[in-house]
Amino acid sequence: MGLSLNVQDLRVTGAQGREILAIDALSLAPGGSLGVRGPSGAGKSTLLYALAGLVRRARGRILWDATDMIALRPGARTRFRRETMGFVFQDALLFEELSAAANASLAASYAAGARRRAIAAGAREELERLGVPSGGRRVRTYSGGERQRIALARALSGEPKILLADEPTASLDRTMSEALVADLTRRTRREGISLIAVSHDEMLLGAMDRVVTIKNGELVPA
Amino acid sequence: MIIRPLLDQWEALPPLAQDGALLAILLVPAIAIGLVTLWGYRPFALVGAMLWRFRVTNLLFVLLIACSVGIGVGLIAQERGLRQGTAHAAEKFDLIVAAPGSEVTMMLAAVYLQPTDAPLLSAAVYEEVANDPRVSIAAPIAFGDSVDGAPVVGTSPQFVGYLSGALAEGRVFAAEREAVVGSRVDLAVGEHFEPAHGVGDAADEHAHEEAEFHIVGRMAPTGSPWDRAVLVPVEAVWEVHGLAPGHGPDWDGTVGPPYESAYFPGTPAILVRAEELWANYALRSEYTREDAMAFFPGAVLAQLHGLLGDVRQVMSLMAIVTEVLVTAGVLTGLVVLTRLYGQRLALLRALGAPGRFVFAVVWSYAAVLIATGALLGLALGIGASAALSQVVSARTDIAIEATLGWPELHLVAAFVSLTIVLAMIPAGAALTREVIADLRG
Repeated sequence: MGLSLNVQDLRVTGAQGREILAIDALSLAPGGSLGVRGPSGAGKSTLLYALAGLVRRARGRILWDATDMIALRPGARTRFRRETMGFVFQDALLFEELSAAANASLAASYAAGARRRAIAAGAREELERLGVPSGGRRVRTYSGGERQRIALARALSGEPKILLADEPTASLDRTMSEALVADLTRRTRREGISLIAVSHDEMLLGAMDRVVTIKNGELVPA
Repeated sequence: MIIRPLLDQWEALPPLAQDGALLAILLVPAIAIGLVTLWGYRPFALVGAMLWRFRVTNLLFVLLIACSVGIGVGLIAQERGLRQGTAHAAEKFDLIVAAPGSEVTMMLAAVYLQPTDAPLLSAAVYEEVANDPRVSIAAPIAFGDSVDGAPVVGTSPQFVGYLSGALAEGRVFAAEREAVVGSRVDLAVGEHFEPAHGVGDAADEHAHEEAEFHIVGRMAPTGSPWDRAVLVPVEAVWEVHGLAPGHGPDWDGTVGPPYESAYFPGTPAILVRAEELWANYALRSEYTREDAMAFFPGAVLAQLHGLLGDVRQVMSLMAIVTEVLVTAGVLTGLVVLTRLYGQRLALLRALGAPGRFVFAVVWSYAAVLIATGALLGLALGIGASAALSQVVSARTDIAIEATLGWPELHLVAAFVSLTIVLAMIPAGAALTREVIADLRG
């Protein structure tokens, strides 16, 4: 089952000390899905990275169940991310020289013995479930839709409790986007994974349980 | 207190064990860092991806490292080969007695057959040496002529037998107009020749037209310039130059000692062999005086090697500095490449890969380049040195064999360890980068 999210008084400042994100409160039920929309530069991706514990200059509280990401030490934050989160980005960000299976099971490279095998098996299953041919060929030869599905398989292979997606359909055409959204929502709902997706894509946002809008780093009423 | 016993134990080890242990000690830093960094991780697929992604640049880096290591390895191997070759060439020359002058000049003339104008030793000195009961061979030498560029050296048949051991072909000369050729002389047994007066371009081909020699034997290889020489009875050299032949009017034509003082024209050097080692030292002492000098070519050579040793150390240091500078350049390049690969490394960190894993990926990538370059450099250095040895051997007639030795392995091990430690810099630098900025490209 996914984790609940409870954000309180989150403040993120830029390198020059300027406040670039101010979220007083934001929540998500375990296994729920949340869409984040807003104009470019509004702070959508910054919010997503803050929720993942990747932002250095953040204050406030980001509670995933009882775990406060901001209060965690860097090593613990990395471990929490590794054990509970999956990521899908706008650009699939694959290792072009590796095969689909090697990309999907990337986390096995740094996981311990038993978990390594579980991740590798999970990656194979996800690729099969998502219909990606997983021979030995390098991922650079795959289509855009297939590459995003490989990225999705990579995100799901570790059986995450939280899935964070940053503009996952932005580089895909309509048909591919529809297929990816269907895969994304079907898999997260079935496994009870908490899903937060930042996007301009109304089709993707329409598939979310709830959608919030950010402008100038702040949540605005719908 | 603790160091002294350790040093004693170290000294007690056989040389092979010392060399092996030193190699292991030098590699310890690299192995230790590797074990600590890679323990529990499998970064090799990603390392392979990085190697392939920047394959042209990586190949260039490997070649740069290989060239710098190859220069260092080649210098050391070549210098050692040269030292061993020159020492081997002088092995059969236990003691030389010559007129007072430069030992180095005389050694170059007598052992390495370099043309020189040397003062002559008198018959009295020769007779004294030859009649010394501790001396088993006292061979006068005479030179100055040549055949097709090969020096003609007059000496005694006993010395030819001693220098060559069993001949490769034929027999030692027994008559005045017979000759034995060195192993690399381009004349066959049974052929005849007339020596030219002098050596090189200034040689007069017609000066000794009346003196025809018959080749009766070929020496086994000695690894010295004598392999390119034509050996004739010293009596013949004296005679064709219009001097007394070393024997009186009733001489029966048998070449070799004893020579008669009254008919002994003088010799630039006497090649002396004593059966007992201690006798050589006594002879050297006795014949180092106003009218003669005696020296061990091996000792003179050792002095020369000692002088050259300082140069060798400077060259070795320069080679190491070059290697480190090249590697520093390569590592700087790796920092740049790591930036180009920054988005993928940031992805790993975003996905929750431990910092040590990301470090391991970059470090392993650098380590593979360094180790490959070093191994290639080792092969390159030995190959280049072997080729250079052939050229130097052909030019000097001194058999030089540059082979892989422990010093080269130690140099490469030290280089690999040092640079693999330095490879922690780009690996560490990769961890200091801003994840979000790199993710956004």
